[in-house]
This record gives sequence, structure tokens and C-alpha cells, in this order.
Amino acid sequence: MIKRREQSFKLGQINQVEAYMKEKVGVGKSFDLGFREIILRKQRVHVYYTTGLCDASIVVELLKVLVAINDNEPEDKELPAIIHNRLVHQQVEKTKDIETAVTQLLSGLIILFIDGYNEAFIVDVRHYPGRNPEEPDTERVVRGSRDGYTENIIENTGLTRRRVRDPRLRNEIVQVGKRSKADVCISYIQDIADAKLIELIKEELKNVKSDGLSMAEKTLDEFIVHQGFNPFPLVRYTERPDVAANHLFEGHVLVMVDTSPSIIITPTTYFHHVQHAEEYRQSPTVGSFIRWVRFLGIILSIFLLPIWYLLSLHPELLPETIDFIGPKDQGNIPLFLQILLADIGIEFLRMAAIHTPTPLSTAMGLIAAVLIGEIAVDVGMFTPEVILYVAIAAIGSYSTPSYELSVANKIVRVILIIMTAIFGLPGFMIGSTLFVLVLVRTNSLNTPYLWPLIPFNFKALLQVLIRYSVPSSETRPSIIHPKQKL
Amino acid sequence: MQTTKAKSETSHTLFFRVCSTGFFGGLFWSGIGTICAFLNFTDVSPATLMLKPWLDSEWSKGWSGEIVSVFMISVLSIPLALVYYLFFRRLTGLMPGFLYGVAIWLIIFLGLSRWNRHIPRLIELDQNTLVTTLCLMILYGVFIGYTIYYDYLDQQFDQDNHSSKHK
Repeated sequence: MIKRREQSFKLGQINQVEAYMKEKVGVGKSFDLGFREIILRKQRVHVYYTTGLCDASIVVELLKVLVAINDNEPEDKELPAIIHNRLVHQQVEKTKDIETAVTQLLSGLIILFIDGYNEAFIVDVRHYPGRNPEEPDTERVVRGSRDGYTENIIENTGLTRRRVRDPRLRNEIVQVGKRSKADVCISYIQDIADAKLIELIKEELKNVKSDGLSMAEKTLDEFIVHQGFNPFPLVRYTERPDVAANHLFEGHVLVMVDTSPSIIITPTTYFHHVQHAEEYRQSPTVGSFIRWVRFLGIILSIFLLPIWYLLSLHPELLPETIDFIGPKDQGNIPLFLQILLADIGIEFLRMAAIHTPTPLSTAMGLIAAVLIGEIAVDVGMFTPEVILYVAIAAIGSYSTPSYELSVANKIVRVILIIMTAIFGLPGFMIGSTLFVLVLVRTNSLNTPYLWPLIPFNFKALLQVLIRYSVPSSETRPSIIHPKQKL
Repeated sequence: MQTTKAKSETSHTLFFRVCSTGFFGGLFWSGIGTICAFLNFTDVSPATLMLKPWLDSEWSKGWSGEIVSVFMISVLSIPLALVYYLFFRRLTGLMPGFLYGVAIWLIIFLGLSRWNRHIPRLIELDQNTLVTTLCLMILYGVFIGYTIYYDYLDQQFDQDNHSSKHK
């Protein structure tokens, strides 16, 4: 921690305050910081503001009322008391510390200094540039709420509060980052969430040593869960307030970071990443069906390519019933390279699709389809079967609800293919075993990552496999250690 | 009075949980073993271990034999889980379960194979079968070991909470 410098002057010495603001904060140099002096009852009052972040109309209203003091108030009262009374806004605070005042100024509040009075007034007139709630791109549903979190943490807590009107919902705010001083909010329902988990998260937040959280929740989660080089997502993100509210009721703890619409749900297991809000918008049977198809897609995205590659390397392993599988003609390039090239090709496409402006993306799709689907086969680069299986694996990973998980699974797939290429069947088996063991070993905030499979919990696993109707699934998952189980 | 009742209740459910862990552990991993046997990753399928040693009939060779064997393994796996619970539940981490799996694997292919000639001996196994069965056994052992350890920990945690509430 940096040592706080002792404040060498009092806030009433208004000339020194002005010098401090000029020198340390750059008022007058930075064009977005403004300063206005008004004279009230022959005393100087200084108002500082940040142009981009405060609502000018409110500031003008406040100034009007303040200036009217000169005309309306009888002379016998103290000026600071009058000003405090006349600041017609619901959020007015006082401080004696210049650094607090400056932080607030840079957050978009206005600060008032009065000559000869040792406290500064802080008025919350923030108005952040931002968009309205929109449906998040990554978590669309066919029916239901089109609400989505925005970049504004205040609006986000509002969106949550609309769904959880419980007086026991707690939104605790802390500031993180030496320079950015980003607002971070921890939300939980007090009589459900595990007190130890809340303590743990607060502790981790306290230990964050960073200049700023420029990438907001992503930067923060790497501090909280100690990601290291583990490719798997150790927390779940959501941009949907209904998903967030549902997790609050289950006893999860949410972490929101200002400037990002994605909020963090903790604790998270692997199976939290394979669920989607859409399943809960359909009837339970349909929801379960969708879920199974999705599971199949995810399993295929990891294991299909390595197994197919293994079977085409060793056709003697193929059972007679499915011995049509496997390329008749190996092609001009080794299969291993074909698979890797096709996989990397799809990765090119995916990355290009993110950067390409929409009008061009249709053209890009056409080129990609014709190039990879047709010409690459005609030229003799790829055998058609490679393209089929690579495509199934790719679509499988797109059906993974969590984008982060799909990329991690892709990495596992490539590793398995490489191990199969080098060691054959033993490579594949040992690779898969290591994959499971690594997942079992992984912990996110003291929660085993592969729960409820390993450690096994029958009831919870059924909840994962089958989407129960809401009235019959009113028990909270035990892994969160909720204070009330029902 | 109330605490003792709660205690017996939790150990009661813990017993059931250990049994279900054993059963589903057997079901899940021998199911995957069957798939591996179908893909010829291993010559030893659940039926090789369960039915072949004492039964020689038509039905036991096909899918029906495999399915029956998977269920037999699931039931036999309950005592294995109970043994783990009785002796090793306090051991922390993944390693105990890992070694438990290796030990069961050794017992099958070193011990039981002596007793019955239908179960192949360790030296008779080809490389693929050896690796596949060992991997599955390790995963099975970790499944049993880690779950029991975690449930045990959970129960301790609950009891601590419970007693501290009543104090």
C-alpha cells in the first residue's frame, strides 16, 4: 500500500486548496476538470466538477439555489449551515480529507469548498455516459426478459434489486485498484449465503494489488480465484439479471465491477458452465431434452476428433458394426496435420468473424464455406471425412453455453489429438485420465470443480442431468453451504 | 438428546451416501469400460470379469451379458466403497483414491487371475488393455476416494456447526 501523505493544510484555507487542485489534480490543465468560484455573503465558495461525468442541468439548479442565498437568507446564521441546508439534493456528504474529495470529484461528484470552513461538501450529481439495458448477445432466449446488465454498476444493482426485493439482500461496495479506484460490488442474500465464502471473497478483494481493473471483471476474477495457467473458467459470468437473481436465491455470491456488463457468479463448478437460461424458459421436459443434446455436443467437441483419429490410425480397433468409419484414402497430407490444419482454419474463421464488420461477414462466410468445403477437398488437401468430423466438433463447441469453457475444451481436444498422434491408444487413454484428474484437482474458492460428479452427489447430479420443474426443485445446492437448505 | 439424535441421523445418511457412491461409481465407470470394450480399447470387458469365470452360455456373450455385468459390478462396488470408508476416509487429497484404484487393479489381475483362468494374468495383457483398464480403475478409485473423503469432511463440518449452535 502507498503511504498516505499527511495533509499539510486545512480545507478552509481556500487558496491552498486551489493551489493543491491546480498542482496535484491538474485543474486548469485537464480540460475535463472544471472550477467555478461564487461569492456568497462576501465569502468565497469554490465548486469543482468533472464535465464528462456530471449532469449539468442538476449542477445549474444547485448553483441557482446557492446564489439565491444572497437574496433570501437573513444575515444572522452561519454560512456553512445555510449552504448545507440549501444544497437541494438527496445525496450530500461532508469530508475533511482532500484525497477523498478528489476521488469523489473524479467519480463525477461535485465538491464545494467554503473559505474558512474546514469541511468540503460532496454532492452526487453523477451522470455516466452509457447505454440502456439490452438483451445480451451471448445469452439470448426465445421468450422472456430482454433485460441485460449495462456498464453502470448503479443500474446493475438496480436491475438485481427489482428481482430481489428482499430486505436481506446486501450490496456491499468497495474500491479496488491503486489508480483506477474501480467500484466493486459484492451482492448476496444475508441469511442464505455462506458467511465463510463472503469473508473469503472480501479477503481476496483486499489483497488485490493492481493499478487498475481495465478489463474489469476478468482482471478481478484472476485475482480472486488464482487462475494461473488453468484454461478452464473458474467463475461463471452472466449478463442476465434473471440468471443472477436465480443464483442469489440459491445462495451464490455475485461480484459486479463497474464498467462491465458481465457479473461474476461464485462459487462455480464445471457443470454451471453447461447450463443456459433457455432451458428454464421451456417446459421441464423440453428443457431436459435441450440440455442432453447440449451435453452430447460438449462431449463430442472434446472426444469425437481424438477417437475418430485413433480409429483411423488403428482400423483394427473398429467394431464390425461401424467399420465403414475411417478414411479409405489417407490423402496427400498426414491425417494428423489435416485435422490440426482444419481445426486451426476454423479458429481463423471464428476470430475473423469477431473482427469483421457485419456487411462483410456474409462474404467471408461464403468464401470460407466454398474454400474449406469444396476446393480444399478437390485440391487434395483434406479428405472429406476430416472436414465432417472437424465441423461436428466445432459446432459442438459452439453449442457450449459458456464461451470460455468452449475454448478451454478446444485446447483439451488438441492436446488429446497430439497425444494420440504420438502414443496411440495409450496416449489417448492417459490423456483423458489426466484431463479428468486435473479437473478433479481444480478448486474454485474452496469448491471442487467437478462436483457433483467427483465428489459424487446423486441428488445434485440429477439436478444437472434433468431440468426439474421449479416447484419440485426447491432445495438449494449443498455445495454452496447455504444457511437455509430449503 | 437432540444432538445425539442429529448425529445418528447424519451418520445414517452418510452410510447411504457411501453406498450410493459405490453403486453409481461402479455403474458409471464400468459403463464407460463397456464402451471402451466395444471400441476394442480393451480385451477385458465387464463381462470378462463378472460372467465368464463361471458361466458359459450364449446370452452372456452379447450386450445382455455386458449389461448384467455392469449391474453386478455396481452392486459389488458398494462393499468396496464401504471398505474405503472404514479404513481410509481420513486421508486427504486425490492420491489415496488413486492408489486404491491401482490396488484393486492389481488384486484383479494378480490375485483373482490366479484363482480363475478366465481372468487374464497381468503378463498376458497387451499394452492397450493394460493402459485402458488401469486408467479406468484409477478414475474409479479417485471417484470413490475423493467422494467419501469429501462427504466425510462435509459431515464433520455440519457437526461442528451443529454443536457450536447448541453450545
